[in-house]
Amino acid sequence: MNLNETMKLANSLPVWICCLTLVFLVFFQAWKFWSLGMKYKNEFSISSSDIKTSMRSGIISTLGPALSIFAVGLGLMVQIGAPLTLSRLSVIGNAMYESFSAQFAASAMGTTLGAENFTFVVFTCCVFVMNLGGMAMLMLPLIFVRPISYATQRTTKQGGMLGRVIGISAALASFGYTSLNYFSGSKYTLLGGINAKYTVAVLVGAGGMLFFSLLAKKKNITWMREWSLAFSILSGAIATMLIS
Amino acid sequence: MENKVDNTTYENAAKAYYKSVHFWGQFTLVLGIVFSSIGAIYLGFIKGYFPGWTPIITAFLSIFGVMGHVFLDLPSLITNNILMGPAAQYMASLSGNVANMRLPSALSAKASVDCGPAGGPKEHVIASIGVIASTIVNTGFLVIMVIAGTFIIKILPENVQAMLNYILPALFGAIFIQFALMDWKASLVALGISVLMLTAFASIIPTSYHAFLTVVVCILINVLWTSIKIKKEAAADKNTES
Repeated sequence: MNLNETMKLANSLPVWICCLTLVFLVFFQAWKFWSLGMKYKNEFSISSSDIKTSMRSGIISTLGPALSIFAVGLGLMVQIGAPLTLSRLSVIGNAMYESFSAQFAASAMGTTLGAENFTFVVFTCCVFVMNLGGMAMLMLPLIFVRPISYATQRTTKQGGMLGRVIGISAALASFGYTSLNYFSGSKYTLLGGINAKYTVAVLVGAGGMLFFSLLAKKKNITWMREWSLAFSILSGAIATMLIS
Repeated sequence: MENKVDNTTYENAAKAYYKSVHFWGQFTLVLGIVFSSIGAIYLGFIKGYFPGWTPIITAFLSIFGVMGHVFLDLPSLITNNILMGPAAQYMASLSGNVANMRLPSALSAKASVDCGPAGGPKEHVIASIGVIASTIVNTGFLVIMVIAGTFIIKILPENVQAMLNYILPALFGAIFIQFALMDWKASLVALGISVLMLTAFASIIPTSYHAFLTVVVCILINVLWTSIKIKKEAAADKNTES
C-alpha cells in the first residue's frame, strides 16, 4: 500500500459523497437565510435595489481573499485529495489551520503528508482530526449566538439613537485595528518596524475609497459609488507592485 | 392609528424573523457537526481503516494547542454579533473565513445601503445578503479550484499571484474609510485606541484580546461622547426656548 493508492482512495466516489454533504449544507443554509430575509423584506422595507447593491458589495469584497485561498487550497489538494480539501475549505475553511491539522495527524502516525508511507489509515486519521477540529469550531456558536444576539439587541434598542453610534464604533474599531496591524505585517505591535508593502496597500486602499466616495458624491455619479470598493482595493493591491 | 398598526406588524415580523433565524441557524450547525463525522465513520468503521484513538487524540491536542483560543473565542463571537447580526453569524460560523471574507462582505454590504435603525432587522438582513453572496462566490471558486486549479495557477504570472496577498489589507483600509465617512470623529477615536493598543499596550495585553478590547473601549468612549453631546444640545434648546 503506498501514496498513489491512498490518493486514489482520497479521490474516490464514496469520499466525494461524504465530503459533498458538507458543501451542500453550506448552500442549503445560504438559501434558507436568503428566503427568510426575502419573506420579510416588505416589513423591513428592503427594496430590490438594496438587495442588488448589498449583493454586489458582498461579492466584490470576497473576490480577492477567495483567490488567495485558492492558492493554498491547491497545495492541500495535492496532499489530501480534492474532495476532502473542498469540504474542509468550504466549511470553517481556514486553509492554514487545515494544513496544520492534516500535518499534525500525519505526524501523530509517524509520517508526513505526501510521504510514500501515507497509507489508508494515515489518511483516515487526517479525516478524523480535521473534522474533529471542525466540530470543535461549531460548538461555541451553536450554544452562544442565540443568547448573545438577544442581549445585544436589547442593548441597542434601549440605546435608541446611541445604537447607531455603537454599530459604527464597533466597525471602525475592528477595521481600524486590523488595518493598523497590517502596517506591521500583522505582528500585533507597531514597535517592531513597519512593512512597506502592507502599509502602502492599506493607505492606498483607504485613500482610494476617500477619493472615489467624495468624487461620486460631489458629481453625483451613482455607478462610481457602487464600484468605489472594487476600484480602491485594486489600486491598493496594484500600488504594492511599484515597491520592490 | 395607522402608524401604530404598522409598528406592530414590523415588531411581529422582526420577532418571527429572528425566531426562524435562530432555529435554522442552530439546526444547520448541528447538521454540520453530524455531516462532519460521516466521512470519518465511513473510512474508519465501515472500511476499517480506523487508526486508533491515540494518534487522533494526540493530533487533536496539538491542534488544540495552536487553535484552542479560536475554539473558545467568546470575545470575537460578541464583536461579530454586533457587527453582522445572527443570520450572517450562523453562516460565517459554518463557512468560516470570518475575519478575511465574511466580516468585510457583511460590513461593505451594510455600508452600501441605508440600513434604517442600527441593530435592527433590516441591517441584519442586508449583512446576511452580503455574506450569502460571499459564501457562494467563495464556494464557487473552490469548486473551480478542484476542477481546473493547477492549470489556472500555471497561467497566472508570479507577480499577479504575489499581488493577491495585498488585496485584503487594501480592503480593510477602504471599508474603514466607508464607515469613517459616516462619523469621522468616531473614526479618530478608533484610530487613537488602535495605535495605543499596538504600541503602549502591545506587549501588556494578550494579542487575542487586542481587537475585542479596542472595540469595547471605542464603543464606550463614543457612546459617552455622543450622550454628552445630546444632553448639551437639549440644554441649549431649552435655553433658546426660554
